[in-house]
Amino acid sequence: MNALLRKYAGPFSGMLAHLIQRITGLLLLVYLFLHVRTIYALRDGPQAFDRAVAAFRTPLFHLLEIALLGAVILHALNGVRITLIDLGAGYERQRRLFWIWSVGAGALIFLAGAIPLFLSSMLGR
Amino acid sequence: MTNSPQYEIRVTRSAGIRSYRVALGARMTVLDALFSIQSHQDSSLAFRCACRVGMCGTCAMSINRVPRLACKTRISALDSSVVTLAPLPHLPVIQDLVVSLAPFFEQWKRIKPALRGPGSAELAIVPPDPETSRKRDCITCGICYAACGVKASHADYLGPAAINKAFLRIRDPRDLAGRERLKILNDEWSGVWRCHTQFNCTAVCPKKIDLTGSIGRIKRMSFAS
Repeated sequence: MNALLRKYAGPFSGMLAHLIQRITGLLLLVYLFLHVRTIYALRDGPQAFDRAVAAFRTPLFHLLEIALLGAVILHALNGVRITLIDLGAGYERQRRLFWIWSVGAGALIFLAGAIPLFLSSMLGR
Repeated sequence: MTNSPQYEIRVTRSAGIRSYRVALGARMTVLDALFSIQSHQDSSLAFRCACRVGMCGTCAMSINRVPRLACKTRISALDSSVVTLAPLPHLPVIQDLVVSLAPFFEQWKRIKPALRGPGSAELAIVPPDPETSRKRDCITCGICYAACGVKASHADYLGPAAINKAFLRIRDPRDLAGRERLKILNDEWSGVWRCHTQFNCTAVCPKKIDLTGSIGRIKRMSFAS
């Protein structure tokens, strides 16, 4: 486990960033389908829409909502990192860009959003 | 040698995985371990090497699941008493740790690596180019090709070494085939657009060539042309 961590936190962090981008991208795609499916319920009237939305008011979906926030932030910031690299900026600093920008700044933004979300949805404050 | 630490060397051979126990000093390399096995334990073990100083690229193999040069990899630096050795991925195995680099050179040939100049000697001395000065040391070991994640799923992809070579030719003021090479490199399926900037090639290159940087430069050149 240690060797694996050293490998992907060190020289192969570009590969780790790629895998994270792919996985979060696929998760967001699943979310998109779920989102469209829920909105589609509007076609059958307001009651049908309310019923569809009610399914998301469970604690499990509130936790998934927080996870969704994490996936969106990681995917977006890593996307900015890849765009910067493709534009020619940061080829030699890509590892630092990933850890400081995508992971570090991403974690701060995530906490800023996840804590109020958790307090309001899970604890009702 | 008796006080030297013992290592378990697990070799993926053509007939299956075989383990050997070898005592090695701190400064000894994976290639030394292979020679020790071949001399004292199993003379049938096949591996390839030539220069032993990291210049020829012949001893490239997968060491603890990372493609590296056996002659430049000290066993003690691996920080593990178990060392796994396997042939380079994405290349056909000839025997044990020996692979055929034919697919690698097939892609290399596609970018027309030879200089195609005007035939005169007027530009025999090329002015220094800071952008390519650190990219000329490629030893065609195939390590970047083996480490490339895209290569694993797209056999047609040119690969980092060939693209870097093409970049050097395009930047060469004597070369006249830049446009032709860019057309090959701009191919949607086998060209630079296949690269997902995973940086694996840059991470493993024994000559520390910024291969992903070369691919990025070609991407921008193709976009601008």
